[in-house]
Amino acid sequence: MREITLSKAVNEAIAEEMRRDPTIFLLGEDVAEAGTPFKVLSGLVEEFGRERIIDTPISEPGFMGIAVGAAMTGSRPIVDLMFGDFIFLVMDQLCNQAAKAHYMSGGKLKVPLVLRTNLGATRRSAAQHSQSLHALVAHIPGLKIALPSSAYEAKGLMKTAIRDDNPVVIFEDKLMYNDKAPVPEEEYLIPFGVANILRKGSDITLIATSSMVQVAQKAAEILAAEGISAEVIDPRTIVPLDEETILSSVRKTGRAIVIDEGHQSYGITGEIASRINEKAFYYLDAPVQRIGAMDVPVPFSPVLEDLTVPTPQIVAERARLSVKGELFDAA
Amino acid sequence: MPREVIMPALGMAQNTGLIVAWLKQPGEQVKAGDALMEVETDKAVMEVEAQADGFLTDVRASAGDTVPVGDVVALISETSVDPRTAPASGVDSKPPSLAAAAPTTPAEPKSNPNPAAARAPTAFAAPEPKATGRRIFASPKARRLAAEQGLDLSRLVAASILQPYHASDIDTLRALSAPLAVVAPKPAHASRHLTARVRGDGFVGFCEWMRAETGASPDPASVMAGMAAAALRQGGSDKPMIVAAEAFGQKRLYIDPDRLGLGRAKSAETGQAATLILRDLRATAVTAIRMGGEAAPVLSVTRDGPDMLITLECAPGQLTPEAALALISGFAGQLSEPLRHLL
Repeated sequence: MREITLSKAVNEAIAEEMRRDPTIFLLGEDVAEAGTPFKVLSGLVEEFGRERIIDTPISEPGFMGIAVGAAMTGSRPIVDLMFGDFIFLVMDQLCNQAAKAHYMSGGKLKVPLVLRTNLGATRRSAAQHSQSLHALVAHIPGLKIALPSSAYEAKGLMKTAIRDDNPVVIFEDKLMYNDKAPVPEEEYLIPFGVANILRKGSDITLIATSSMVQVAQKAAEILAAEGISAEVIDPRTIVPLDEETILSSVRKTGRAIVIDEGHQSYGITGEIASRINEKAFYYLDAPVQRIGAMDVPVPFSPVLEDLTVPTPQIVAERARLSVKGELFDAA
Repeated sequence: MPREVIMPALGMAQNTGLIVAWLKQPGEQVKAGDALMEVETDKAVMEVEAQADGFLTDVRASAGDTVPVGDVVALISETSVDPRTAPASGVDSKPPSLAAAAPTTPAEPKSNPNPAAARAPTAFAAPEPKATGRRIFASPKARRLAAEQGLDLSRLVAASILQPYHASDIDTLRALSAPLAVVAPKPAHASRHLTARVRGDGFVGFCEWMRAETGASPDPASVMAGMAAAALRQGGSDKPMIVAAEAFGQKRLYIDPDRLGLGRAKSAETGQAATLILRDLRATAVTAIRMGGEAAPVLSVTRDGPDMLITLECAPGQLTPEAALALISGFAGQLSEPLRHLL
């Protein structure tokens, strides 16, 4: 099978959907001429024109509001938010309007809108361009959250997001835009709420999202060399969350670590760990552990920045602790 | 003879204990098993029970005092008269029933007037968690598996297997709970048969203390073999001592396990005959032993409620009466209060 970059996979997904459905348009900063700073959208303006690939001023609340209104009135906008960190600017449009319109209108309004943005540190972009803020919007009922972990995932999830009749936020890992993966030529969609088991194992379950999926897989390789068999699960979407796949894996292994690049406190890892505790408690042979990014603003210093993000070594170390069965923090 | 009440080692790596409250007043009558005082360690508040019947006297530490482990805090005497302050004390003449009204502590179910019932040993009952006063640390999965299979996690505690327990320990627990296959004894000569009774929590607590001190889990069989060898060597013998330790269906040989520091001896391969056979049957339902003589003196350790029973069996030619008595009493002393013998 051919291999393409995550960047190209997103580009193909948007182009294919725009060819299929003329109501789809895309707007954001530097999306047309520049094709975004990451060159994800290169070539789209040439094919679809300035009417459907729209460069906006630096005005996130404004173009987000435009998109919400357009979605309510029959269009299917894709909003490009250059950095995930800028999500703070569109919170009212996204969380108070887009997320609630379908509910508050008694189902009369739909908001078929996709907000595509990114997450991920270690790009030396400092504290305001390196955050992983998906937990913020995962907290809001009415929003679906997809976290692709490869080119294949990015294309299939983007196409599903565009076809969804209510708001979806997709966070791509900005460090992965140039990573290649096999992606079929023929069309495919990845349904929301269906986790992907990347590796089968029997001793411990590693549940990892987005950028952390490859970290978990490398950790599983380290552990395999030591005779510890780790199962790796990518939930793909955290809202909706495929609880059953996670729970049945943990019921089998009796141990779990949840890994996510958002800050550890009050984040995705805590949510998933809690659900495991609540629903698979009597199958647990060790405390469920969380590994998130350090609770600090992402440092600009490369040396320090690298310390704030979970690594395969950290995950493997914590997995050993679980499997060894040492008493940690009890009583 | 008055019995000493000492500050026990209730937790891992515990050097001192804080007396939170006395649950009995000076001069008050107590029964073995009655809660005497509440002691706070770094982890929890626990009750310390009386070891003998009698009267609480010579209370040397008050509520709020921090006392080193092993120190005597009071005596249990045969009369309510404090041996030191006998003539003048008004407290001594106070009838026990009045003292019971002391309002300083919350009501204790253990202070019921019928402690004999609480003590009655049942052959198959596992030691209650109360015996150590501690919650057993086990994973939810281990607890579920134990419950599903009708197994009692406290058997693992009794077998000195260190906590926390996980699903992998359930296999061991199942093996412990199965009736042990009885090995046919060799034909007995007219044999010596001695038994001793000691409290069961001293050895378990000691293994936990060792782990806290050394950071590694001691091999209980090696520790016990070391104690037995030390007891046998009391006469000062320099001969190599080979202890065959049998526990959980496994047999291991330890050479001079008392010489290396307790628990350091590793099981060894040797063609030499054992000097002493040590059977750890605490995890089984066996209480009384009468197997007859074997190729070497046999020390068996069984469990009876919260206590451990030690049985020594040997042929008259193997140990003189004096040596047999010295061996069993020395071993009993080590097992009941390992720390004091170490110090």
